[in-house]
Amino acid sequence: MKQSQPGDNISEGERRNIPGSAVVVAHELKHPLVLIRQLAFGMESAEDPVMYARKIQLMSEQALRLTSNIEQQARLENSLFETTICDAYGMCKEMTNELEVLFNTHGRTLRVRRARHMKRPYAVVNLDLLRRILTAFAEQILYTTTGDDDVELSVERHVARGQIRFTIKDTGHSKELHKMYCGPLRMDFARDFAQAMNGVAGVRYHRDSVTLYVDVPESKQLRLL
Amino acid sequence: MARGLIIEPDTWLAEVWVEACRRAGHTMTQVRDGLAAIDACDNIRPEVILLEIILPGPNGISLLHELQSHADFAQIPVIVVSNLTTVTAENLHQYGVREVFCKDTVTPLQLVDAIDRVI
Repeated sequence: MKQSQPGDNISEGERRNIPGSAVVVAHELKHPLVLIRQLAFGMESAEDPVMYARKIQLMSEQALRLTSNIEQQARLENSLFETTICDAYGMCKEMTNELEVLFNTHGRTLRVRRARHMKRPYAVVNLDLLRRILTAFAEQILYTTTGDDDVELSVERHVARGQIRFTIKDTGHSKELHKMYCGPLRMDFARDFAQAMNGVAGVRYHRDSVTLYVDVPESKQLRLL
Repeated sequence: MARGLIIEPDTWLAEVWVEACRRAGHTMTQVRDGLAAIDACDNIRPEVILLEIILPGPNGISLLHELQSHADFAQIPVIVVSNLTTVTAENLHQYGVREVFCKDTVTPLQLVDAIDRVI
């Protein structure tokens, strides 16, 4: 019988001094790079090169967001983040405008769902970090959904907890696709960025859908108005 | 000129290959997972399959098992195009896999050439 030796339980990557996080990053970046390369091949002989150019641009932006998020995550520990009061619905509207091209190119629609009878909710956030979280969620939904239904971005107010919850949900969601494309990295960013704003980010699985959410503190000053 | 099936979860990637095959005279249908692939096999009766091993739900290996269990599908030549670096044509030959390509290095023209070789 083989005797266990010290170091038997470390991975090949660790043995070669390659940190696990580097392997995860390499894996996550591989997808957009492979796609950009194939789209460039397709563009050479395309009847509609503009569409290929747009897809290459969108995939490059996605890869750059990934690297930018890694940098931002590394700086979180020694940074103080300026927080500001943000109109939650206004933020959702801005996000849908920004992501419209990305969703349209995938043949999908992102829309804001407004809850009836709810006062205009205000949250205390760092706008850059919240934007990064919602963009990462939206990208994730795009690659993990199979349906043609609209993707919904919505806001809920948890009065007892004093929090505002941003959620992004798609009813055509495949749990398997989610697990496949949802590398640990995007959720890691979201959790760390949310924590930096005294918030929490997470995922909830339902029978036929998945909801990605981020809870951030509600503005107590503007709530009184 | 072949009638084929591309089983690839990334729609944009599959579209590039569908277009390259169309230019070479092949008619390809694209699906995103193994369950849809079985339905597509029933409907279009493909003469060649391009398969990614990492699929949502049942993976590509399960699908190969399933195809082998149907007499009329078992003879369809399969070309694997995957990010999974551990698969080789030799260890999947028993499942009808004729060629294996890595997505990092393959070009659409190489896939078209491979289809021409196996049909």
